[in-house]
Amino acid sequence: MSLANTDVPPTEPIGGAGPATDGRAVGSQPGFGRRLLRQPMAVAALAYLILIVLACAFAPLIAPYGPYTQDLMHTLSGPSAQHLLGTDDLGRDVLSRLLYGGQTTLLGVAEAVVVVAIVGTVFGITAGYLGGWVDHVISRVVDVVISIPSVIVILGVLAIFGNNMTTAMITFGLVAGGALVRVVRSVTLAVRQELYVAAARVSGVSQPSIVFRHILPRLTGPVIVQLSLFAGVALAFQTGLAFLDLGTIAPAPSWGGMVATASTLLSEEGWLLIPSGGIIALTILAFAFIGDAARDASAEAWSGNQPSRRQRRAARPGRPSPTAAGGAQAADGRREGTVPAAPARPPEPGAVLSVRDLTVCFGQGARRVTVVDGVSFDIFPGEVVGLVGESGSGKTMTALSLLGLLPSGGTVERGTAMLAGRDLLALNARDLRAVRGTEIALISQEPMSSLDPVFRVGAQLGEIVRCHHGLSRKAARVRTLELLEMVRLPEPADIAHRYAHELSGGQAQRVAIAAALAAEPKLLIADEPTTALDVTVQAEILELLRTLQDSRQMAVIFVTHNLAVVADICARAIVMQRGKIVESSDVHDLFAAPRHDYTRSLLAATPSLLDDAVRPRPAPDQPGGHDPTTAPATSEVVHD
Amino acid sequence: MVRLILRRLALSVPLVLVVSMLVFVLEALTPGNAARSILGSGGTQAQYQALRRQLGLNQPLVVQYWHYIDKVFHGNFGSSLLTGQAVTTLLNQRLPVTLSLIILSTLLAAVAGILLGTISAVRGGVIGKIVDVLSMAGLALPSFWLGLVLVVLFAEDLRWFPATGYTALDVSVTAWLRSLVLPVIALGMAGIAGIAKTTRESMLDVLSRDFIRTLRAAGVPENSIIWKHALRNAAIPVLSITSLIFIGALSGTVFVETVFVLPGLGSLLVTAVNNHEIAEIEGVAIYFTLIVVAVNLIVDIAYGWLNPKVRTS
Amino acid sequence: MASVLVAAALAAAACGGGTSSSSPASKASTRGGTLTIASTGPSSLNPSSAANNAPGVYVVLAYASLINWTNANTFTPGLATSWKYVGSNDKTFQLTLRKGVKFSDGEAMTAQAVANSINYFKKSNGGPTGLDYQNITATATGPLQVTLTSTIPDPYFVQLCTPFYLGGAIIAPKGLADPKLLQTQSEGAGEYVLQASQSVANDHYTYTANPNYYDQSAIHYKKVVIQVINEEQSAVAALRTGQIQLYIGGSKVSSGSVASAGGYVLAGPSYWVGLQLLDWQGKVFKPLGNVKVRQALSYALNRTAITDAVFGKYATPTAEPALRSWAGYSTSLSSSFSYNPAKAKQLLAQAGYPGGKGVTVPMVYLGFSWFSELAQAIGQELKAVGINVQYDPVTTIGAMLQAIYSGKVAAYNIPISMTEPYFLYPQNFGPKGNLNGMNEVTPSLQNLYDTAVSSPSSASWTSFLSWLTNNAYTLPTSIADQLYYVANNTNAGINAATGLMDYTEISPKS
Repeated sequence: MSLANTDVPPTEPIGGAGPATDGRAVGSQPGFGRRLLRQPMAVAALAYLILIVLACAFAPLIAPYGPYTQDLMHTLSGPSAQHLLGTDDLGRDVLSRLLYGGQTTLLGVAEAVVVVAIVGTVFGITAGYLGGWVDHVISRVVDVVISIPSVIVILGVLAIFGNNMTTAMITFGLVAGGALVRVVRSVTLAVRQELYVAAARVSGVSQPSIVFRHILPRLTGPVIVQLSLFAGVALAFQTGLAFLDLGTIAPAPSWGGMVATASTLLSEEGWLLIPSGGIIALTILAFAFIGDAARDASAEAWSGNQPSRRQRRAARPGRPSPTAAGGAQAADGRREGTVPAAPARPPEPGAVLSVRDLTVCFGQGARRVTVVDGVSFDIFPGEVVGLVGESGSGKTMTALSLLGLLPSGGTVERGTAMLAGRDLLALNARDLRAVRGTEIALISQEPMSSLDPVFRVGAQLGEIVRCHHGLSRKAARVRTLELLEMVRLPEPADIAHRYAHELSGGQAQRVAIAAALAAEPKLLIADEPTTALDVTVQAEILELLRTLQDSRQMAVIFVTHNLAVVADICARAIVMQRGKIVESSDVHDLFAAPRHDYTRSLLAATPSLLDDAVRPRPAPDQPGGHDPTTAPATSEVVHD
Repeated sequence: MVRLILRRLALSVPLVLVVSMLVFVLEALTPGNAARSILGSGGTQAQYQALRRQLGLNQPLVVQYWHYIDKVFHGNFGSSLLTGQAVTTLLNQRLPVTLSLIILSTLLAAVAGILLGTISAVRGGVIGKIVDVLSMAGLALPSFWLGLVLVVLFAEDLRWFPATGYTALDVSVTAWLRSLVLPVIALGMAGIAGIAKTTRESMLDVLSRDFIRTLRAAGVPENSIIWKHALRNAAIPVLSITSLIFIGALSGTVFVETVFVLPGLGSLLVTAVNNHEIAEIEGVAIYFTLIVVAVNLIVDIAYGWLNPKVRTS
Repeated sequence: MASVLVAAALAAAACGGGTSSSSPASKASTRGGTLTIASTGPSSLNPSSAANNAPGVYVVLAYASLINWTNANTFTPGLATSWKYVGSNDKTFQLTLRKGVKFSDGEAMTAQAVANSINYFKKSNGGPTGLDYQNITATATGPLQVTLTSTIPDPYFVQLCTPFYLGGAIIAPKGLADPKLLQTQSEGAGEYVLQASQSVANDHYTYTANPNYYDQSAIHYKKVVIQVINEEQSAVAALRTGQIQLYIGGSKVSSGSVASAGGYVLAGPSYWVGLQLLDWQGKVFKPLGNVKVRQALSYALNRTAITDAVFGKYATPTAEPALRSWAGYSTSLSSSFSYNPAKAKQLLAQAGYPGGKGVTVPMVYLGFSWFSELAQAIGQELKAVGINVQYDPVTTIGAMLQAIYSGKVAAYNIPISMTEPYFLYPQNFGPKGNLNGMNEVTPSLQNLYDTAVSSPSSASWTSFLSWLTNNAYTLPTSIADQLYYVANNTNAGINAATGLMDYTEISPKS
């Protein structure tokens, strides 16, 4: 499938497809460094840091004066031609002292960072890889070390070693390394488990060298993030020590010491506070930006923000989307904002939902992918329609787009979905919220994760009930229990009191169903509601759905890849492949006489059906393809 | 849950012992000692030696440490070598100041950070960037420098707040608050960035989860989804980093209390180190460690409250 | 009817009590509220250990002295009402004590108590002035008479009985019986009493008016709080916000903002500073044993520039270790060794150290405030002629003394005040002097000192000072002022001769 790019909708397991395709994980993709450098702030920060480091390292060459050269005749002069940043209380050049001072300051930071890096990776990898008692011991030690207030240890060390900044910063690194140990350990654990699984599948033996080859690249991202953030902390701490006249004492130049000097001269010459504090602040900022950018670079593959409202509004059919303003572009799947859509058929009268020319895309520019391509169908009241296809066919995206719940990166390019006289795809946020739950509802695949884990299920149901009906707490409680009874949960009061993780899969799904039906919607979208359940529980849930649907005359779109389920519960089935509808007909006809090759191959892949169903044969006038021009009696074929 | 608390308490005992031992050893190895400080400029060498003997400073390290720990377990933290005042008195006088400072500054960082982080996660775009920059600014400005700037701006130029000093809570609530506003801002600013970042990431992660989608699909108002459901789920990593920031604030008090002349444990530590007052250093170390233990305990309990899985398992 | 009588009786009682001019109640009502003073912290509250250089404000408030030294530079009765030298040679001094004085705990003051206090003080528990009393013994020679006898002539008995040398601050028997008490509470007969419960060590100390003080009208405030502030910028800020009315300290870097902070500056020459050397005989630092090397160091210093840079207008350059008002001061000495780096290099070469090679001067100094600036300014001037200066900053006096006794430093800087040559020699150059770190005694200097003591005259002291200066045993750079910042709503003054303030004369402006 063409979903190997980074903007993957999260139906795929996060972290790339399984080990069969690419053993390397996200953070180690060759693009990390390049991704990091793509961000302008990171580049600026990096450039600034390199500049400062070089300037301070070559201070003897470029500083206009020595760090101790005093000019007692020109003390506390502001910036001037001879002294770009002015002079201090003994007439020493501020710029020169900043450059020389940077040597000790930045060296101190480097010492701490190196110590943290070494301690963090060595102990983190050891703990994560070896596991067992080694891991236990290291973790306990880290717990204790992290809890020690570092300032005590460092002041004590300074007292012994007579204000030796190197010792102080090394100590600081040792005490602060614990945090990195934890991060490295968790990454190592994750990789080890992944690779163990992969290796177990493939060869049954995992070699340490393979592990290292996979762990270390995976660590680059998190380690760089932690180290750059820590560098900022170390700098703040080092300058703080120097400010207190510990570690580096006057007259030796240091950034913190210069802030201390400035503080004693505040009322006389406030200017001195600016260059000293300024360079510290800028450098910390630079470290922070790099850390931030590194974090973004390694997390880019993960889902980002929720779709902004602008994204959704851009999807109004017929209106040019803001990003497409500027004229027509090549017709290979890119935006066609100003090109008028093909004329669609009007909505069927009496249909609960009429979808016309629905098109959903992910990503932008060269990486844009169309996952739903010109889909049209109608749903009538009280009917259960199956939306069938394998992974990646676009069936889930179709369903989600109706509720405006596409994952981030997804946009509705064009199309309409008329429900009760309104176009769902063109609603503003407020109207959309009004429609959700009351007109159209959703139950999803994973019942356990579709409930808020930190609230009791009864409370969640109660909230949903209250937000639709404005009931008092007591009345809502009564209604909640009614709903739980409706989905045939014995002891509803007990269930209501529980948390999601205290329910079984079947029970949780029933609760989810209760939540979906709380406001009596006309249309229910069931997205693979039984896939994650045991077979026996599946049957129960299907039975429940059928009963509820029947008693309320509620229309259901049943998204599934499982034809057995389709056979069980659906009256009609729409088959999708690669974003397009390939076949749509009565279930009986579909099984008896599939028109499309794809449908046939689906049927063929479901062994249990083959035994019972009539062997499919190709339609007489088609060599196996789907003919868009004919309109067979019992099925609906939709133009795209 | 109870087991968790007991485990945490069990870990604390070795922690306190380790810290006290570490500090004792470090301090005892230092070249200077309090005898010289006590004697001052008028003391002779003979007096100095005599005083050392009198203070027990010439005994082997282990013996000194044992005496010390023995006394501590009886609630006696020793006395200041210079003034003879009981160290417990000193510590207890200064503890409320430091506690006020770190509790308020962590509160500031938490509230501001969570707000900024949530807004940044939900809005994204330009507002998100602005929020990022603001919280970064807090991170970049060192607390002692920020404190100085605040004093110049608010205490000297505008005279809204006192430049130095501390008023106890029982003297006047408003004066207490006023004396703490500037120090709390100086100390808390750096924490805002960390909490905002973590909140943002955690919220982004939570907002992409299934149950959020379910709640949206059920028509629950967006405000409730974000501020009630998402935030509560996102709270755990935020709590983690808040506790780290609280502990980091302990170190920060050394700088902030010095700049604002607050009579807290941090400023006591600096003078104690300068004067080689080992009993005072030990006392501060132990009090700091106890504060850390208390914070960790509270965080553990809060975890339990936030995450039902911990409670019921 | 009965109630009217009662009311009348009460009124009569009140009137009767209120018209007496010496009752504490009426005087108390004319007192100001709280005086807040900012100062560096005390290293000890025990008068015999207090390491403050300037008159210890912590001591003065709670401990009355035998004789008061007013801002008008007069000596007025304190706990003693009269005094005189007895006999010849300035070796005996007699004081008559005031009647009816009580210590703060109510105990009556006796001659024996006073004698005990002085004898305790001279045992030198570490204060900077203890050794000034080392030759003196106090005896009670009458119910209210104390006689001080010195083994060597001492023209300074009067001064020694004032608060400025601290020994005259009388400690109550209760304090002498248990000196540990003195570290946390006051046991004196002074105007105020320290309230330990309202004080936090090293942050603030609260004193309340002493109801047992012998002259209630002299107490100008109900309460005095001393707030420990080490940074002059913080002090100015506190002055500006009205938190303090007096700051003991200050320098040119903040003095300019005092006026806008609602205060005024008091300043007067008070002490000399510079670099004090330790190893004049070259036992450890061989080059320093050579007088030419030491003189070279002196010529290398641009005293005018250093003085101006570090102190601004609050100091005058000098090469002589004496204040103008001290015995033996000579203007020509003060302006000797004028800045001449060429000559310095010449002398070094003549001494066998061309270019300064081989001359190492490790220098210990207080690493903050002007102490640090001065040390650096001096150090850099010395480096400019090739001397290898090694900086060793410390943060407390205690640590500095440690270094002085360690034999590893060759120079230090501590401001020297109130130590006229009479007191300077024993401390800095005499046998077992508390600042004579390497215990080197030079017979010629000793002789000049002994001569000046037994036959004191301006000439003899000048000879002493000349020898000291010309042999560059110390390298003074400046005579500096002690500064005080005072709030506009407060009356305070300084003694023009000593540059120091009598704290008991501070009063609120009406």
